[in-house]
Amino acid sequence: MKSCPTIQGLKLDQSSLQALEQIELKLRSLRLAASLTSIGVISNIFYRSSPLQAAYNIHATDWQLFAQSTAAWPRIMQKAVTRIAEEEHWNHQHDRKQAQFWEAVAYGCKP
Amino acid sequence: MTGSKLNSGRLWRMAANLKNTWPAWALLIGNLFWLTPSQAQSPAQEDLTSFAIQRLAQAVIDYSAQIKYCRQQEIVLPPDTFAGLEISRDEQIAALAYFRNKNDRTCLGQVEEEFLQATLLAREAKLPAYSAKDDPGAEQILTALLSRTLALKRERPYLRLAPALRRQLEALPVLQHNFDPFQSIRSLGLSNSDIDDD
Repeated sequence: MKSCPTIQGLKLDQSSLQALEQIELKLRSLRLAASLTSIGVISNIFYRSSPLQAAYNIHATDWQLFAQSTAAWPRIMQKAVTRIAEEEHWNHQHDRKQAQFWEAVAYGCKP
Repeated sequence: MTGSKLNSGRLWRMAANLKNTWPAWALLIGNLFWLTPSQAQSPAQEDLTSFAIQRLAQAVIDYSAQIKYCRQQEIVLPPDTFAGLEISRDEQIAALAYFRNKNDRTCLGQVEEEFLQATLLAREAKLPAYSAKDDPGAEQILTALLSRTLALKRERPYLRLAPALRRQLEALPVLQHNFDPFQSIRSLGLSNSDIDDD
């Protein structure tokens, strides 16, 4: 587990936004308090990255909240989210910031 | 009551193996309350429900354990993995993504297949959260199918590689192991940390 990257000026493209949406859908299907917290964190990222806002920063506190909520997910859900994040990581091999973002989503990080 | 038909010894054996598999617990306990006589299911439906619960609970336990096992089996590819091959950075990435998905699926194997079947059965038996009413988008089934979907998606860029190169890659024993994609990318010097952001 790596330390959480502070990502300045992250711009999520359409592929990343769709992947976040897919993760959110899966978490909603869990219907658990832990997943609702995660949806909150992801929605925050999602809406901050709308076309109206060109870029934003992800801080250690974002990852801290994310790590806390993912720890409570069932392992099958963690695996599904990891798979989606890995796929986006492969898709963004020419965009360092998005690749960093998806790696941190995939296997978590220590704030 | 249908819940009473569940074999208690089998349930306790499942319980002994439960770790990070609380969805199975929730499913079992939830259904004991859910399946009351007032719902007046037909005997055939009761039988299907009971079978689906047991099968899904066991599948969740087994699949969770196999995910953990496969993660523990992952290796880091050595820096000389592609030594001697004429292969560009993008081709290496295409190959890694393909083999990562393929090897992970191989490791999860029959256990993942059983999880898919149990999920399909749960929908057919109309279990809570799995029924068409509770899950109109079939999200549970799509989750169970996710590894196949992604593996198929990764075939396209891999099949664009020259056939001779693919044969060389498929002959590399190290690429047949399940590997950690992120650590392997760093080990191979393919990390994009030196790439400009814009």
